[in-house]
Amino acid sequence: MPKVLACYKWVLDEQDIKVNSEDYTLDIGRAKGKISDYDKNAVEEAVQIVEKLGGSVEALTFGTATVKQSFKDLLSRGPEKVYFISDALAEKADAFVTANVLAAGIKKLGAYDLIICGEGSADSYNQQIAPRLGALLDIPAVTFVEKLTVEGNKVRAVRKLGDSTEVVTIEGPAVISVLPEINKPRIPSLKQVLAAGKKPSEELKLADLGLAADEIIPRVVTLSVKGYVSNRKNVIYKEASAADNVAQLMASLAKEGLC
Amino acid sequence: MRYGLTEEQDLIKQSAREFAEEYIKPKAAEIDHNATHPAEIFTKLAEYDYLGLYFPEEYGGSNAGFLSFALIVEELAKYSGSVASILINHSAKAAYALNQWGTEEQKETYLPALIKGEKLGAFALNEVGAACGIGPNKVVATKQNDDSYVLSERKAYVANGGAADVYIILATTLSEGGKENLSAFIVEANTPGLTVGKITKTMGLRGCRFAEIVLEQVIVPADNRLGYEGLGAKIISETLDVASIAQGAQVVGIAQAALEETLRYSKERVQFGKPINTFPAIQNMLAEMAANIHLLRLGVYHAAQLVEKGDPFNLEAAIVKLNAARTGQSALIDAIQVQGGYGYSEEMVVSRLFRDINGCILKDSSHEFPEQKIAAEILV
Repeated sequence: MPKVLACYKWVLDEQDIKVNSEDYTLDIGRAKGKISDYDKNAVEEAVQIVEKLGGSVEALTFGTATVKQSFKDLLSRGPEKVYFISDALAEKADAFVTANVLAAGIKKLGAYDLIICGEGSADSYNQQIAPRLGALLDIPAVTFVEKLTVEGNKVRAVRKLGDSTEVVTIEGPAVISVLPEINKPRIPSLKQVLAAGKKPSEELKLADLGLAADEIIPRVVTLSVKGYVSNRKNVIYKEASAADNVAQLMASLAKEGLC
Repeated sequence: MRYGLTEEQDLIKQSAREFAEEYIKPKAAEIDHNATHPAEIFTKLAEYDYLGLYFPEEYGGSNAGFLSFALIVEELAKYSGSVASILINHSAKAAYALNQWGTEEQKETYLPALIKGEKLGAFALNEVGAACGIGPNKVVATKQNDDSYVLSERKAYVANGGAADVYIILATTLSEGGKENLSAFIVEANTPGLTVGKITKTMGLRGCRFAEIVLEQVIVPADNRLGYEGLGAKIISETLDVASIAQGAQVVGIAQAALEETLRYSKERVQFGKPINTFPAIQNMLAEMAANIHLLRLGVYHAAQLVEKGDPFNLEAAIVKLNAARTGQSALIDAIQVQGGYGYSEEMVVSRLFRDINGCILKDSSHEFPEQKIAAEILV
């Protein structure tokens, strides 16, 4: 019976983020946290595998102190236990640091048959965690997965690649990153929400993970994060002839380098 | 905005929002149009444990508190006032009365089935000429012997009527001194002599059926009386207070939906080359809607907390009812005003919200009534 680990990220809900129309800076003062969308698919897939085959499903996350706010939501979705690595370092962490920390955490926790992640996070969407985890743990990583079948230690994954799909068969343990098409995350019932409060959480201290100093120095430094605002030019072509209007439109688009 | 809810309450509200988006939103217009009881959604409410939310675990409930119930009503009402009404009449009236005044045997018989959604409950109070149970009830329960009563006449405008399996029926009884008083009885829908009369076609809340319940020599065992003879007035008063708070949450949900719809519309609708949300007159209306809804929500959450703690809540329930009427009506009038001719169209969601909110406000009593209750409390 598989032992499955779902990795997830606690991110700011983009619906609560306001973009300042003057300088495009972000106002996150009223933004609440949420489990990153595709990570909900990862958790759901892990739970469905265990519901079908037996075994156990746990979750792991790395974040700042706010990550603790995610536990009840996460646990109401099915995992039996959540492990967390909470450190201010997470604020500036890039995919390199995050993967190093998660991999060190997984090594400390022991062997898993499957480690499932979302394809990318709702904030930075770097799509790097699964491949990096595969490399760091020295196990196969399969990305862009839209269908997953597990039989014994054999894993069959359907990968969605642009205009084609690829079927991959591997032997576990493996890291899988999933697309939202793979499933529909469940809506926790009231009793599942209430039961989540009774499930355990355990902290893994960053200092105990045996990471070298340079493994937790971000390779990517974020200078600023700005919003994108689509400002319309409100150009109206008023020629009597439609053909003239179309010609003017085409000329404008060509000038902008759009056609 | 944040309302000082616990993490658990926030999560319950979030799950209810997801539930409503998944199961109610796609059906809301159809429920309104067809004016039929949405049995499949009622079953889903049971599946997600919403029917037994604040009832004791020993009967299958979740004991999650009345505030959590109000949060769920609010979220469901955003997409369908009808579904919220069905839930309120089932859980905050029929099941509430059973849990509050039922004997152990009555609770064991009915509560688990109501919580699992195997039975739908209704609170049969109104009569033609005796709205809110005030005034003489024409439905009389005549004591036959020590073992049973005979109920006759008819109840009107019973929410969940016709669809319900269990009715709490208020009726006039005679006390030993010959004085008339009110008592409540648990009557199953299949009891001989109980039939469903006219279904009232309503302007809003059309998925929650309002029916006449006809009682022709209905024999009800004395064991089905809820509480002692003469307890009816208290049962009515307290149950309607609890329901007022839930209906306040329903109004918050509907008004919030109207606000969100109006914010979206005012951002997209361009007039004189600019979105109309840039005009001060529109901004004023949007701001007033948001401010009033916020205050009503605070009042609802506070009153719901009082119910949860077992503190007196009759004054606060009346304040909620009064404010719900004011806020609900003004919010929907402004929502339609901002949307102009489109808002008046059946195509737009706000027209349904307008019809639904008026149903919430008129239910059980007119909004003039809570003013009298508030005055009576503060003039002591």
